[in-house]
Amino acid sequence: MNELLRRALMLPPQASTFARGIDTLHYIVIGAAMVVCFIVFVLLLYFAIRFREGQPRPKRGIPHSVEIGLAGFTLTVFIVWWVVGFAQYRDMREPPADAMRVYTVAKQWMWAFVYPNGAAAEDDLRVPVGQPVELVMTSRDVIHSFYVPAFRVKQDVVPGRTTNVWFTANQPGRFEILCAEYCGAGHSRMRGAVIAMPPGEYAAWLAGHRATDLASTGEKLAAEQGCFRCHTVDGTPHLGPSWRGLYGSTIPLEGGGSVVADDAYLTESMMNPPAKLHRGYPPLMPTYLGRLSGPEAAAIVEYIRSLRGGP
Amino acid sequence: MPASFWSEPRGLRSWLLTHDHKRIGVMYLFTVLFFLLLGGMFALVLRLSLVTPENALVSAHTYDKLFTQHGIVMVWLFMIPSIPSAFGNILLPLMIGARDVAFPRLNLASYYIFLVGGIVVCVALIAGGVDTGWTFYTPYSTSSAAATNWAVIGVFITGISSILTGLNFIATVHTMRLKGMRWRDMPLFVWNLYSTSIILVLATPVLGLVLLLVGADHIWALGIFEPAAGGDPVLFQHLFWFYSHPAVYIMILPAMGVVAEVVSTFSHRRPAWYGAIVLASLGIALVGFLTWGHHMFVAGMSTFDSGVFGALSMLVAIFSAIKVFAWVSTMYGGSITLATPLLYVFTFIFLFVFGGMSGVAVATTSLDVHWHDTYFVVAHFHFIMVGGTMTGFLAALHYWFPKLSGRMYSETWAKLACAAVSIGFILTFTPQFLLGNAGMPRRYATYPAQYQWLHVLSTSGACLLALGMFTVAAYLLYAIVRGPHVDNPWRSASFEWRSASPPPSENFVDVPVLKDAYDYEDVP
Amino acid sequence: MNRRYHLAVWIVIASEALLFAGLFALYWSYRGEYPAAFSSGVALDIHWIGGLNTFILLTSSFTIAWSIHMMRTLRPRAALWSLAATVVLGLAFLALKLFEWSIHIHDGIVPGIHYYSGPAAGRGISLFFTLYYMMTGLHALHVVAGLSLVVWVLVRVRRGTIFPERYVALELVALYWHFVDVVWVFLWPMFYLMR
Repeated sequence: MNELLRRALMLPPQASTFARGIDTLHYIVIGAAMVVCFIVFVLLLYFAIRFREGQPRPKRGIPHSVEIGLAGFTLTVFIVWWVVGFAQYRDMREPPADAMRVYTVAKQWMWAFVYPNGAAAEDDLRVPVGQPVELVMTSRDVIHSFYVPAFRVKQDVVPGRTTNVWFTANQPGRFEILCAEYCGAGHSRMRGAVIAMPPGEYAAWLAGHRATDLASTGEKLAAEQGCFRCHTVDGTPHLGPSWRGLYGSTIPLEGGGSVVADDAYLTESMMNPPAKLHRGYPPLMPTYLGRLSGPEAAAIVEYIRSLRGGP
Repeated sequence: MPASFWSEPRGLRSWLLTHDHKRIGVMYLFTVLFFLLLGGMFALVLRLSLVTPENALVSAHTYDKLFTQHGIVMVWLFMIPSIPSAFGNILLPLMIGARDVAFPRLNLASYYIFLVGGIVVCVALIAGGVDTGWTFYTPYSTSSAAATNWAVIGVFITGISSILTGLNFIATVHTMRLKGMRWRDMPLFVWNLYSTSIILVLATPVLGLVLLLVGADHIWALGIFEPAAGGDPVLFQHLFWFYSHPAVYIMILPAMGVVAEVVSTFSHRRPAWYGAIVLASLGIALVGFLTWGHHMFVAGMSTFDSGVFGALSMLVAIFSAIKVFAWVSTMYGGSITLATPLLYVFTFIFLFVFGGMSGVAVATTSLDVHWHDTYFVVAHFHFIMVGGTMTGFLAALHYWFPKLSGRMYSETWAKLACAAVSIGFILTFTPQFLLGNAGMPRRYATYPAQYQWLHVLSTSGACLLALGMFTVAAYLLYAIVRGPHVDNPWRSASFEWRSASPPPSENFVDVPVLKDAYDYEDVP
Repeated sequence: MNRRYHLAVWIVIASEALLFAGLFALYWSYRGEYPAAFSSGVALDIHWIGGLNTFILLTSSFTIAWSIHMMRTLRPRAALWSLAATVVLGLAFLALKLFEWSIHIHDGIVPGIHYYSGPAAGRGISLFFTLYYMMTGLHALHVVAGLSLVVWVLVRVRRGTIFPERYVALELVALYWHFVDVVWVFLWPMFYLMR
C-alpha cells in the first residue's frame, strides 16, 4: 500500500529512517486534500443543477450549527496534523548522541565533506547504512541548502554560522544531493550524492581511502599551474604577495581603498587579476578563467586558507 | 441621461489630471494588464526553456534573470495592485454610495507613483536584468549586479503607492459611507478591501525598510547582513517575510471579496454567514502578520519558533476554510445563473481549496522539510495566486465589464476562454506538485531527464492558459466597440448597479436611497 | 470632514512606526548577539550632543503644543511665535546632528563592512555604527519632513488661513511632530545611554 501510494505520488525511495513516517503523514494530508476537493467539486456541480434558475427553493438555508461544526472539525484536523508534523520535525532536529559527525562546506557550486578521521571528499558523501550521521555545515559564500530527497531531509547552509542536519540511511544505494537554495548560475548543477554502503564495505572504504583533502589538492594544482613562480608560501614577498597569512587579511588596493582577502576576493583575483590589484605589486598576473574549473579554484583557495596562520 | 465618466470631461488633460476614482482605476487597470503581459512573457520563455532537461533555449544566467523578473513583475506590478487599485478604486465609492474616495488627489498621486515605480523596475530589466530571485536573499543579492538596485528602488516606489492606496481606502470606508449604512451593512467586497488596506499600510513599510537596507548595502557595503561584519543573513529573511507573507493576503483578500459578490449576485441570495465572512477577513489580515516564519522552517530558525509559526499558520487557514463554507452555503437554496463570472468563481473555489490544502500541507512542519524550495511550493502558490487571485481578477473583469462599458461580451466565447484558462491552469501546475514530490528544487535551469514528461505537460498547459487569456482580451476588446448595450444584466442589488452603466462622473445622479445591498427575494 | 484628516495622519504614523520597528528589531537582535561591541559603541557616541538634542526636541514638542493652546485661547500671534520657536529648535537639532556626524567621520567612524574597528570593540562594532547612522539618519529625514510641515503651518497662520476657529492642520502637524519626538526618545537611550 505504502509502495503503491509512494509511486503514484512520485515520491523517491524511502531511504532514511525518517522517510516512511513522513510519507505516511503526507498520504493522509494529500489524500484529505483530494477528498475535500472532490466533495467541493461535487457540491458545486450539484448546487449548480439543483438550484438553477427556476427550480424550487428550500425554505431554509444551511443552519449556523453546520458552519460552526465544520469550522471546528477542520481546525481540529489541522491541529492534529500540526502536532504530528511538529513531533516528526523535532525528531529530525535532534541528532542522537552516537551520530557520526561530518563537517560540510558548501560553496558555489560544490559540496566538500570532511570526515572525523580527516579524510575529505567532494560532492560524494559515503556513509554506512544504519549509522546516524550528523552534518555540521557552513557556507563559504552565499546561502545554499543541503537536500537529499530520498532521505526527506533538507537544511539551509548559511555563511557565518553552522547549521546541522542528521539522518540514518536504511538501505544501500546512491541518493542524490541537490542544492535547494538559489545561489547563482550554477545552482542547478550543484549536485552530489550520498553513497550509503553496508557497514563492512564502508569500513573497508574508509581504511583503504587515502585521505586527500581539498587543501592538498589545491597545493598540487598551484604547483601545476605555476603559481609558485610568483607567490611564496613562507611570507617572503616576490612578484606577487605571499600566500602565508594572506587569507582573511586586509589588502590595500591600487587606486585606494581596501578589501578583505576572503574566498570571493581570492577567486576573483584568479579569474580577473587587474580588478582589485594589491597595492605595491606589478600587474603581471595572467587570468586563469577557463584554465581552472570552479572546484579547482576552490581547492587553491582552500590551500591558501590553510596557510593563514603566521609562519 | 448624463454622459458617462469616459467622455465627460473631455480631453487628454482631463484624464491625466483627473480626480475621478473611476478614471484612476481604469488607468491602473490598463497599466497592470501591461505588466501581466510582461510577466507572462517571462513565464512563457521559462516554460519553453524547461521543455528540455539541458535547457537549450537560454543560458543558465538568463534563466535566473527570467524567473527573478517574472516574480518581481508579477508580484509587485500585477498581483498586489490588480484587484484593489484597479477594481477597488473604481468600485469602492460606488458600493458605499459615495461620490469619490476620501482623498482624490492623493489617489491620482498614488497612480503616478506606481507608474514611476513600474518604469524604474523596467529600467532594471533593460540595464542588465536582475538574477537574485524575487526574494532578494542576502548575501547573494547584496553582491549581485548593479541592475538589482534599480529593481529595489522601483519596488520601493511602488510600495509607497500601496500605502497611499490603503490609507485612502481606510479613510473612505470610515468617513464616506452613505448616511445610514452601518458597518454591518457594507458589501463584502468593501470589507475585504478594508482588511487588505490594513495590511497595505502596516506591512509595506517593513518591505520598504528591508529594500532600503539591501540597496544601501549594495552601494556602500554596509555589511548589515554580511557574516564578515558579524551580520546575519537569516535576519534579512525575517524582515523580508514579515512583509511578504501578509502580502499574499493582500493578493487574495480582494479576490475573495469578488467571489463573495459574484456568488451572491448569481445565486440571487444574500451571503450566508455574513458575520463569519467579515470576521474571517479581519482574522486573515491580523493573524496573517504572525505566520511569516513558515517560510523559514529549514532556514536555521529554532525548533520552538518553527512550532509556533506552524500552529499559527493552521489558524489562519481556518479563516479561509470558513469563507469557502460560507460561499458554498450561499449557493444552497439560491436561484443560480450559470454565467461566466460564476464559472470563474467555481474555478476559483475548486483551485483555491486544493491550493489552500496544499498550504496546510506545507505548514505541517515535517512535510515542509521535504517540500521547501521545491516545485511543490511553486505549485502551491501558483494555485493560490493564479488559480485564486487571477481567476478572481477574471471574474471581476467579466462581472463588472457591463458596468464599466455599458456593453455585454459574447457569452459563448467567454465560456470557451474560461474552459481554456481553467484546464490550461490545471495542466500547467498539477504536474508541478509531482515534480516537487520527486524532489526537483525550484529555480533550476536544468534537471534530471526522467522528469521531462512532467515539464512537457506543464508547458503545454501554460500555452493553453496563455491562449485562453489572449482570447479573453480579444472578445472583451471586441465587445467594447460592438457589444450590445446593457444596464444591469445580472439583476444585482448591489449599489454600484444603481447608477447608470457606465456611471457618470459624479457616480449617482440622485443620492441613492439606502436599501439593502443584498436585497434578493430570499431564503431566511 | 476633519475625521478624514485625523484618520489619515494616524495611519501615516502607524505606517512609519512599522518602518522604524524593523530597524529596532535589527538593533535589538544584534545587540543580543554582540553586547560588548554595542556597549563600546554607545561609549564612543558623543553624549552631550545626544542629551542636548533630546532636550531640544522635547522643548520643541512643548512649543508646538503651546502654539495649539494659544490658538485655542484666541491668541494667534503668540501661536505664531511658538511655531517659530519650534522651527528654530528643529533646525538646531539638525545642525547638532550634522556636527556630531562630522566629528565621527573625522574620527574615522564611517558605516560599512570594512570600516571602523574601534579600540576595544570586536565583532559587531561595524553593525552598531551602521545601525546608528541608518536610524539617526532616517529619523533626521523625518525631522526634515516634519519641519517642512511646521513651516507650512506657520506660513498659513501668518496668512490667516489657519485661525482660532479652524486649526485642524496645526493639530495634525503637531501630532506628527510629537511622533517624530517619540521615536527620538527611544533612539536616545539605545545609542547614548545604554552602556
